[in-house]
Amino acid sequence: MDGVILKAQNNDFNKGIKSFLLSGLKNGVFDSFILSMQVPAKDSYAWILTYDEGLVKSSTPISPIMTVQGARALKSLRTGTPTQKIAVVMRPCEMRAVIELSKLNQINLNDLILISYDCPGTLPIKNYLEDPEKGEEVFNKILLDWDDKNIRETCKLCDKVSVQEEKTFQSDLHITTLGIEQNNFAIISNSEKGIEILNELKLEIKNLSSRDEPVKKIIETRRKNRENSRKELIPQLIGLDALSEFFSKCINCKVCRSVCPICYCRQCYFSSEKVKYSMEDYLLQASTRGNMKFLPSLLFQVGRMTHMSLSCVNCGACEDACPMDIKVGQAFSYVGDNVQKLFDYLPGRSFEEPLPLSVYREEEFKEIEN
Amino acid sequence: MKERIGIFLCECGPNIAEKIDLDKVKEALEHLPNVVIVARHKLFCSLQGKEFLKESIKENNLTRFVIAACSPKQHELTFMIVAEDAGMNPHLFQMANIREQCAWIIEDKDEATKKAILYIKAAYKRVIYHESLDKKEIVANPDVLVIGGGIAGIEASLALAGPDRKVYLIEKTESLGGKIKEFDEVFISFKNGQSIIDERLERIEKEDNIETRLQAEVIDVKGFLGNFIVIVKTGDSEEKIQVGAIIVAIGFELINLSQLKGYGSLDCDDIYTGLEFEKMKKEGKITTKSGSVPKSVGIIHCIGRNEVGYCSGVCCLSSIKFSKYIQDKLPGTNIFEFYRDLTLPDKAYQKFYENIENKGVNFIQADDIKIANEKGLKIKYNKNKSTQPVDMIILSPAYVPAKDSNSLAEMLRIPRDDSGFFTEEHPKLAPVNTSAEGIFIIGCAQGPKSIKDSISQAHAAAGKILASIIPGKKLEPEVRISYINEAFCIGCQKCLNTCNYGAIYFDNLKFISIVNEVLCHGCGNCIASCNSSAIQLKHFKDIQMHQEIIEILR
Repeated sequence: MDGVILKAQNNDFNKGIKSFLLSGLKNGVFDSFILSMQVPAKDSYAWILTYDEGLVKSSTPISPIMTVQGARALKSLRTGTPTQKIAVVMRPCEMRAVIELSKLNQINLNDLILISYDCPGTLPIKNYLEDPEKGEEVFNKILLDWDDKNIRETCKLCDKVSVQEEKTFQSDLHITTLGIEQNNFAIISNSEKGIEILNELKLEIKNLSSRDEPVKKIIETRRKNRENSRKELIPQLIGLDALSEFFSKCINCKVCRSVCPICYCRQCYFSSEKVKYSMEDYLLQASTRGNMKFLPSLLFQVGRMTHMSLSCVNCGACEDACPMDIKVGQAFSYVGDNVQKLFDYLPGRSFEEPLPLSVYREEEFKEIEN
Repeated sequence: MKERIGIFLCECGPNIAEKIDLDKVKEALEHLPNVVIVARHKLFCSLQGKEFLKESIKENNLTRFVIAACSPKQHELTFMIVAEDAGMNPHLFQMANIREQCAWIIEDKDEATKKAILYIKAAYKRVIYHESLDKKEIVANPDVLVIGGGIAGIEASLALAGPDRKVYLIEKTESLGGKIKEFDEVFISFKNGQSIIDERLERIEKEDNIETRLQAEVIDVKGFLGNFIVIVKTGDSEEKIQVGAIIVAIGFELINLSQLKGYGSLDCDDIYTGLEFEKMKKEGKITTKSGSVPKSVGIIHCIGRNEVGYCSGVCCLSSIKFSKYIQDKLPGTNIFEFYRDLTLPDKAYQKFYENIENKGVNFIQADDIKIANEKGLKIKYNKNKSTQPVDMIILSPAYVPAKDSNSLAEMLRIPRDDSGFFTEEHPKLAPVNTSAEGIFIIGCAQGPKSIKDSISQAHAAAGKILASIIPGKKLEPEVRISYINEAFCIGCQKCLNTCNYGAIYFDNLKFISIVNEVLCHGCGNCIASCNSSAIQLKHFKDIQMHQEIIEILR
């Protein structure tokens, strides 16, 4: 792959990215930015939209934790006719969710310039909150050595960390650090729009084949991790009894749904009146089964799975948020992978790939026709 | 108003009565709230049965009823009419299928009775939540779109066009006539193919109500019976055509010889397909490549039959016709017809075959035919045991679906069979209908066929259309259709793409999807695609289904 090599003094990639963004502002390729910004209390990050050079300078494009999944932030930009060139810097999993939501008409991509970056993973929010200052330190080290000891479980299993020949996620530009010389980083175009931007900036395009090996290696490691972890996970998910046990701790707070970028309904079916029955029906259930458990968590989990697993991007936001430490993200990711495979679909892989449920293919699932 | 519900148990002759204890069923239902009558009858679909049902509804002032009988596929409509006759909205009843789903499949009478009670109770629970749905009427468009200007398409167009019915005839190539115009002589009159087409073209010319589009293709189809909206592309221009019915007559192709393995050298000189040979005959010169007159000709049937997995059914006859061509043109030529089975089903074919055979054509039943080019063409057969040298070979390759059939099937949302031909609704009972109402398939688009059969199908489809879409007559569209709750719709537009009928459009101002009540067919696809259940199907609402299921799972 080819790309533009830029400087990052002292391996400070955040600083390097910011000066790239500001040079884009100067050259008129970007008008404004959506970036991650540390909150004043210095214990979390928020998404901001800004024109201000000073604010860009104090932002943290690559932040140690995923607070609000970026795609959920962009959902606010659904309507209207934008006339801006807004540069958005987000993780690959956030980009993938952005692409999915754009297909579901929940995000208008027209004037967004999507910039993804090599993501080593993020810290679990709970760990970070114990000592945010230390968290920053730990994460900055991870950005350099890609040691996965301290990152979220779901991130350890993620193989969509960087762009490579085989496309796994879509953005316009991709910032890469893997396999690039010390104190440098590179920018690769990942779409037509991206190619135009790099052309407009008149930067020298160089061959980046030094990335190939390190990127391949990390992807292989992650896939190995995933394979190993699933060996343990799968038996816990197969069959109704196992599944019931897996989710038995669930307290029905539905926070997994609230933080999920893909769950976009205005009124969730599982919070609607439709899942509430008459007193007679409850009494009937109690009398025929011997008891009736209130707030059936399994129905909610499996139902949500059927609704969103085709578009699940394995971002792990649900698992990070679960107060009961249920491995909900890993379960959804396992189901999602399998469902997506059936349709030869990878959510967020490209702008063009249509959602499988909205296309009719004549040659499909012949085996289940009678 | 207090509900008054009736439950009617059909004996279906001995079908239900002998397998289910209907007295026990009656007993179990009589005390259900608001049930004012539980009655049984030998055969509710009979004249007396219907009368009894009607009178019972009236006498008891029923507000709703359940009828436990056969499958709603068989008699739902029958009882809807009875309900209407009794002055009731036809949607205020529910059928419980205790014949196919109980009586016919359960040996044990007690078990069958138990299950029947469960099903009737479920129907009773459901019917409480039924709502009156009012009839609508729409004006059906009598015009017809015919895709494909071969003999089938032309015949259908001519049969349909008239003072109050326009036909749009869409042809992909630059001229009408399809494959027939390539045939020098057409069995049984041995008329020239082009002249057969020319006669019809003259009639099309004179017919004001046939509009022909040449070098044109269909690029989008929406709607259903009575109201299709079709986008046709001719050259660079696109036009919107509105019709009430669509006939697909896109014909066939011959199997690509390069796909075939196991026949030896098919790409040598002096090997022709049937269509190539017709052309040669038409040009009046049957010669080998070197220009000499062939002294011997081998005609091979069934090329590709194993590969496609069916007998094309028409090649035997055309192969025999080729013998006639050669006998007429080049008397004294040695002719060898190699066949696997002779398929000559029609009343005129046998005589023709006998006639040709008597004139000295050698008919050889052979297996494992291979063509070799060793100092001239040789046909080896029966596992290389026999060899016949010839100067020229004519192949009869299998008929395969036209190239466009895949894309057209997806656009029209009609199924194709394993071979890729369009599938008729029923192979015997509905041979030109498709699963989509208002879309018909004729000629070789449906499967390999003779010219005669293609024309019969063209007339059959025309008859179906003439009888169902009568100019000025109104159609009653489905009333069990979907509707969208504005408060829940989040505007993701998944439903737009899943709708088979183009019946959902998007309101950009409100940012919600809206159902076009005329185009909606009530198939339910959109409901399955809507995560937030913003879409509901009338008569199949969540509450109606839930209540029924809860009762069954009791």
